[in-house]
Amino acid sequence: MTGLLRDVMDARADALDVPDLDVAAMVRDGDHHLVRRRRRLAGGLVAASLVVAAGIAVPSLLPGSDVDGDTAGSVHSYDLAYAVGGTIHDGPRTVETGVRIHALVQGISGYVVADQQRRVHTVVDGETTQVGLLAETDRGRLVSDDDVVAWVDSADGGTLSVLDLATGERADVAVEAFPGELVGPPGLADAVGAQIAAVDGRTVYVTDVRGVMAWDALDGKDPVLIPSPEGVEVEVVDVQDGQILQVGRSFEPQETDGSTTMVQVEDLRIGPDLKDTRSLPGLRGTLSPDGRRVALYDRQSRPGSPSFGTTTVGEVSGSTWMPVAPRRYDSVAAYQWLDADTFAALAWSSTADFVRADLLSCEASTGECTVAVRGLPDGLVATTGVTSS
Amino acid sequence: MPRRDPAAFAEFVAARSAALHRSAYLMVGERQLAQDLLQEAFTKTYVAWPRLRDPAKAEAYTRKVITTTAISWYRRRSWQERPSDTIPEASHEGHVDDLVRREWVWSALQSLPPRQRAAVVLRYYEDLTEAQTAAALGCAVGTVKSQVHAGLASLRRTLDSHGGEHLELLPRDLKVVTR
Repeated sequence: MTGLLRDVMDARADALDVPDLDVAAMVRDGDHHLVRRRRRLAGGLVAASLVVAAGIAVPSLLPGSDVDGDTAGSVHSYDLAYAVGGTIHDGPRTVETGVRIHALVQGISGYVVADQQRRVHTVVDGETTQVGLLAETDRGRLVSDDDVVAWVDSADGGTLSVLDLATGERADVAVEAFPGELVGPPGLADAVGAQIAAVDGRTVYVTDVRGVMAWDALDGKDPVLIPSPEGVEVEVVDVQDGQILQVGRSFEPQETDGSTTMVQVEDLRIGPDLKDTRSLPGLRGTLSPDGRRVALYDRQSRPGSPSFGTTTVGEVSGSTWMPVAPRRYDSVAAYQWLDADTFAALAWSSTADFVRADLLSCEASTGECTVAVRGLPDGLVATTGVTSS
Repeated sequence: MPRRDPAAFAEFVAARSAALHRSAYLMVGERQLAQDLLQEAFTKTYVAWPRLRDPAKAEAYTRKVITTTAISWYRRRSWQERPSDTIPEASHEGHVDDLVRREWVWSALQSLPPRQRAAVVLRYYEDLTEAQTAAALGCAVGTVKSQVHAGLASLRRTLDSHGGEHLELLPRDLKVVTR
């Protein structure tokens, strides 16, 4: 008798259709991989030779640190970075921090990380220095724009702390002393540590019950209230170059079976303030550093299947949205812009038993993505600033 | 130095994709996932193409990528908590028809931890030697032996618990190497 196991495997395998493979995509993806690898190698050699010649570190000349040609002087170009354990992987570079990283943001001059004990550290020129303690483990987060990083510190029962990695300037104001009526984001109104909504340049946006406070803390200026429209609760999602990406929540009457009930309606919007805004299609989004583009995230569902996440990208002022849907993934979610045209995204496919996820680098102008990190290592921390569980 | 030749690579894909697809499917148990796995494994093979030189080496490399990638894709918790009640029950008389029996074996194979399952597929579907299986899994031969032994023991227990004590899980000529 032929073994049952062998029979079963033969029968199952023989019943398969011919695989539908895309050889052109294999060659294209393979070539992209090779180009990236060669660039890293060449860049590493150039950087090494510069360091040897000058005898100093030259971070601004390292590969991936070049200034974007279209917006020279304003938009920095980052490599996709992430942390595993105590190591930051940043393009071709690795940086050992000596702390177990649970939250990470990437700046031009270095990084800011938070460890499992909520301690906040700067990592600059290979040196790790504790600079604070997050007020809240679960909801605490680091919010940054290039070298300016903000968080809610545990000092004095809650302190808004802002630090410039490049200059070392720092501002700390106790939440109680801060003008206005600070709250966490909607749904987390009492959340200590979640009041900082966004950082744009040197301006920190702090959530207030009446809208959002724009605070140029490092320049010693008083916060300015940007009020929300009457009857609308606004959550600021991102701010770049003065463009405020926000979610407005309001109650609208809805007729059901002859009776009227009030239902909450959410609307993703963008504008220079919280009133002069236009609607965008999606649930959330992230703005390019020049404020000209936005990657939008939405959720879709199919009957009988788990919902999945979709990403589109386009000009903030336009009305056409390009789907970012690389083959072989169910869901894509952009989480960081690497320069004015490139963003990092998490892409995944899942079934009841499997989940496979990669980090992608995607081009806004074409909607095409290449795999930057294939298969996520255990404990990977992406550059979102949010503390991982 | 060997060059990366898309035409030769395409020829290799055309020649070996069906066989490798079958192995990939047995390792992941889902058609679309197997196809994705194959696409990814061939892409990595293309990157490594100049150093693989001959088709046999390329096939071994692709199989290794399929195996290690399949293992990395598994969601860990599912292997600790996989319910056994998904396996079809035998009929009341204690007789099991062939179809149900095969479903038991298939379900039990899918329920194995990913390394055990890959080792079983490589050894008893692909007919690789223990050394070749070790190379594909990236582990020692001793590890292959223990993984295969544990996998077969688990399959045997499933079969026994559903009234299949008299059935041969493996061909007789193969049993000697697994006991």
